[in-house]
Amino acid sequence: MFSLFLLKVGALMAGAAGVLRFWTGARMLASRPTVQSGRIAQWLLWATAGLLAWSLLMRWSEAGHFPSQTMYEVLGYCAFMTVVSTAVLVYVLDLNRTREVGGGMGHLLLGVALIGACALVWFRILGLDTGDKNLPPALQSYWFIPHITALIFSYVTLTIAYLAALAYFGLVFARGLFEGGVPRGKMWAIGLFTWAPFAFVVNVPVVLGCIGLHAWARRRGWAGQLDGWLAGVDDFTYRIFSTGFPFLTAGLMMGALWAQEAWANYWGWDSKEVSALISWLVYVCYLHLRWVGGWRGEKGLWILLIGAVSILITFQLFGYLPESVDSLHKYTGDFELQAGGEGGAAEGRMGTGLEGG
Amino acid sequence: MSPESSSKVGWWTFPRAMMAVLAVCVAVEGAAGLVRALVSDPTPARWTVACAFGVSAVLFLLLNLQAVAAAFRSVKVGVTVLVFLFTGSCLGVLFKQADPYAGPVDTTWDSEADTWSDPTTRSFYDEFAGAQAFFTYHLLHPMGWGLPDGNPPESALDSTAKVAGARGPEIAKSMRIGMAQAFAAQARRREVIEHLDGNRAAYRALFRFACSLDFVRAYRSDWFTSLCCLLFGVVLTQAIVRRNRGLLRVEMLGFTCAHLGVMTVLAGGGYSRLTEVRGILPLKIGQSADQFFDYDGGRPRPLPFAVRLEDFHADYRPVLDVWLPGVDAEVRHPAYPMRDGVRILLDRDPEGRAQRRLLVQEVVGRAQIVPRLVEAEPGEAAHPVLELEDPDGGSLYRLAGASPADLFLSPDNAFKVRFLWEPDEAALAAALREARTDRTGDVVVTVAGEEAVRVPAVRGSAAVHGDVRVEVLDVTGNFKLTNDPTTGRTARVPMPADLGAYAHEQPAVEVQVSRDGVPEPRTRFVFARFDLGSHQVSYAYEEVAVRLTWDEWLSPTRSRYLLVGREDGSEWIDAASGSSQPVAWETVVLPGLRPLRVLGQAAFRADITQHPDSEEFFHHDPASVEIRYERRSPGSSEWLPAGTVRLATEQGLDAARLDEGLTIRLRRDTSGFPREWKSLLGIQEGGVSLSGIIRVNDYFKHRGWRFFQTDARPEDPTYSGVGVVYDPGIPPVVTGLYMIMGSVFWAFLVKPAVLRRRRKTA
Repeated sequence: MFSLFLLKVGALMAGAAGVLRFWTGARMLASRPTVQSGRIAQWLLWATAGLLAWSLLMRWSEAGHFPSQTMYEVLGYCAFMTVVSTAVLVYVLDLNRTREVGGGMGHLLLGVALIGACALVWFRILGLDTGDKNLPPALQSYWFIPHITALIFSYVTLTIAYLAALAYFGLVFARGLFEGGVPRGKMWAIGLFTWAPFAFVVNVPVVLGCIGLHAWARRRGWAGQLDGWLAGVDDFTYRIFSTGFPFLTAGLMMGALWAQEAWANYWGWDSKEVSALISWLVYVCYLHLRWVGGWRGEKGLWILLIGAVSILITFQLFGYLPESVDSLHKYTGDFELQAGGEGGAAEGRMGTGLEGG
Repeated sequence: MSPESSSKVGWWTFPRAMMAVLAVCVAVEGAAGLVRALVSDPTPARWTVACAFGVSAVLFLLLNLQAVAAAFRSVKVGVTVLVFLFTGSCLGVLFKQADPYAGPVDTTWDSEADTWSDPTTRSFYDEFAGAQAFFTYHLLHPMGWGLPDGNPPESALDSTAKVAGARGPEIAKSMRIGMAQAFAAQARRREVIEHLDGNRAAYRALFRFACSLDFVRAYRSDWFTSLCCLLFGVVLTQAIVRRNRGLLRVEMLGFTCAHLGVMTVLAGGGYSRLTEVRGILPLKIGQSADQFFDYDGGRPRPLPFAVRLEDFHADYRPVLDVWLPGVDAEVRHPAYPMRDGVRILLDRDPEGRAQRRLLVQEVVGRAQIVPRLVEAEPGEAAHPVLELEDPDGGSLYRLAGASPADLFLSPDNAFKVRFLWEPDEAALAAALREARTDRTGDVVVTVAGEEAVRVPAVRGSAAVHGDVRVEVLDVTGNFKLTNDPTTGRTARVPMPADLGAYAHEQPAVEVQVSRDGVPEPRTRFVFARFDLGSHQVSYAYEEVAVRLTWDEWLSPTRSRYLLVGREDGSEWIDAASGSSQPVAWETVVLPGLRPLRVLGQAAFRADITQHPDSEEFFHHDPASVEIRYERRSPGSSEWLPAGTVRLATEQGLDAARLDEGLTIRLRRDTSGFPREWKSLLGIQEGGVSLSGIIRVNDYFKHRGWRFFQTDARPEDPTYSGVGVVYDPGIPPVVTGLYMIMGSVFWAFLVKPAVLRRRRKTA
């Protein structure tokens, strides 16, 4: 499959762009000259986006429909959207012009996201079944592409906001570790959250990375610079949030509008719909508490963490929820089982919500 | 805002707001319970409690009016309501939900039977416990830690290596993943059941707890409804009433529209909840109905007009099965989806290069099959066949010795022709003798499934089966009913007494069934061409089954002929006179009958072409594909054409054997969803008829009633399940959704750019 070859090459290029951004960020934090590496990374990023778009089109042609029907296709689209989102966030965070510490951390985080996209392709997607599946009639709608696109873009962008919030807590934890002065309760909370089920795959490397970064900064004598970023983190994460949130809203609303056209039922309380609504409600709470309740800084960042966990459940773990048994949003066809009740009757069933919709 | 009012708003902290919202939920649950109790059994004691509750609630509100008003103005209360809605939604996905249209779950325990008293509860509990155990089991194994691998056996994995060689690594990988998932799922299923068995008491307690708080009906519960109402109230107060100025300024436009959108959605949703009717209209092609079955208990509900299913078609995808000798005996072969340009690479060499390939040249969704008669090739199954031309110019075929396929019956019953091939003298004499007699058929009587009694279907004959007697009262070749306009009653159309005088479109007999000692004999009509066995239970003698077998050849007609085909010259024989004359091919001998030729060793071929009306969706024609078969040239990378085949999803035309045992078969894949399904609906109302096509994602609307495609059965291509919805809440909700979407985009993406430009300009 040519699309698979393009996806692999695109993932490697995304990884290279990520490493370049990471390097740029690290140099910037250490107040070293970056020799236009940020701009090169941006050009590489757009080239990667083009290549992954080509891969998407090839897959579209191979499968005969927009490729978001299997987990392989959805995660491939997710990798593409990560590249698009990071490219957009460079402008949103004004990274091409910002030279101070905020810019450095921005480059660093986007680099992590891009390396993550590369790892997603090489360690997860390539292990999945690459066969294509037919598109059921319910998915043959003009809403299919905008609904999926809006949701995946928002998921990826809000996950980058999560990374920023996590980096904040990681640096606070590191400061507590090396310098003290951080309340013990907060240290415990961060430590426990780092090991949260499922999320720890991302949390542990990021927090360990932050500890390493802080140690390196202390050794080189610019740890104070990180404090500047910690102070301005609220605005930094809010900018990322405000890029992803409109698309999350649009994805949810388009889903309801689509359901209205498909089943004359705009809201069926399907568990996938409710999971998406829960994520949206978390971010709505964040918005209101930040704007009206004065929850800026750390309090708001905790909500961003909860929001991203909710997205993870909606996007990847929904199939394990008890109410997902009867969900109409099971199109990807990955196998799971559901046991019977006291009679012990058990049946296999096809399909989980492990999908992007 | 007055200072006093302001201080009241400030009084609302998060803990207080939480307590208040929780109290509202509990109060609403209590009030709703009281109302239900009053409606079901309005005793004086219940009235007293209800009045006391109502009065105390009103008094409490009046005495704390300022605090209540302040609560609606408090942001913290608003956010608390959001948090409660979030929690309620979480409960909805964390607990298996009961049928939303059913009432509260009855958790009465039957100690004697050691199970739930209500059968519906028993079945729901099975689902609930299974789903909760599945969830808990996976929660206890995050990231899949400790989950059994369920490795497939080595032999199964070895077979995938063969598949990789034959069909390519991607398909082998899909198979390995599928096998691993299936074996892992089996192992996990066993462990989930063990987990469930070990914690029965806990799951029962959880079930009782969830049912008692309506967590299993979260979105239909009173507490959830009260939260939605509270949200409407706080949004109205805080976003609109409290900020009554400047709501339409550029800075505030997104804010205002988003909150108005939320209110519109909530109001529309509430209206839907109160007024919506939802159900299904099961129809077969040609059927009409003016009622449907609602989802709320499956009760029939009237429609204000009649709906007729004019046509229906489910277009299942064509797929190609490819069998390779020596590979597919061990594993299930994959079905390749058929699309133009698909390449199927087969037989990989050690370097992974395919040696054979199939190229899909053309896929036709609606094909036309034109059969052709040819001389059979040596070794091919052959039949003696007479080819006729029908009045419209098409071909008809009659196969000798394959009754009733050897008959040609004139549409008006003027004559009947039987085709015989090379009969010897005795057989011809017997056929002539038989053709000179009239015989309508048999009435077959079975009582309670016991051995059948058969009597001729002639007036006056009687079948006696034990103490049951079935007498034939009347025999007709065309049973027809008509509506008498003067009396308005349905009556039989009288037919001539001579059965040979008219066409036998609906042969039937009228029989009288009686039993010894039972004073009331019953009459019933029995039809040859459709079986009313399914209605047997509605008969007075339901254990007595009566069937009619109609003799198509010997039932009365005006004349019968034999067409005797021979290699050395065919002949016509008039059965009545026995006179014979040679067949003059391609000349009209009898009305509508032009014999073209006769072949003793014939085989059928078919021309498969694109149907001239291939764009028409509603059809029952087969799909077809043209496939080019190629082999790799030995020692080079060049592909050499090895033939082209055209297949259709029609028995006999669906398979082809290529070289070296490679066999392909085209079929429609009815195991999953069709590619598309559509129904053509007709509405009849007050002399006006209109029609519309429905499909998933595209409903048909008439006078507020929405009809959409919801169901089909591969085994019954005439059946269509049509969803029916009457929901006047849809328009406001859709408006609200667009408002929220548009305003959020405006507020977060457009407004900042507009304001930036304004600042620059300033």
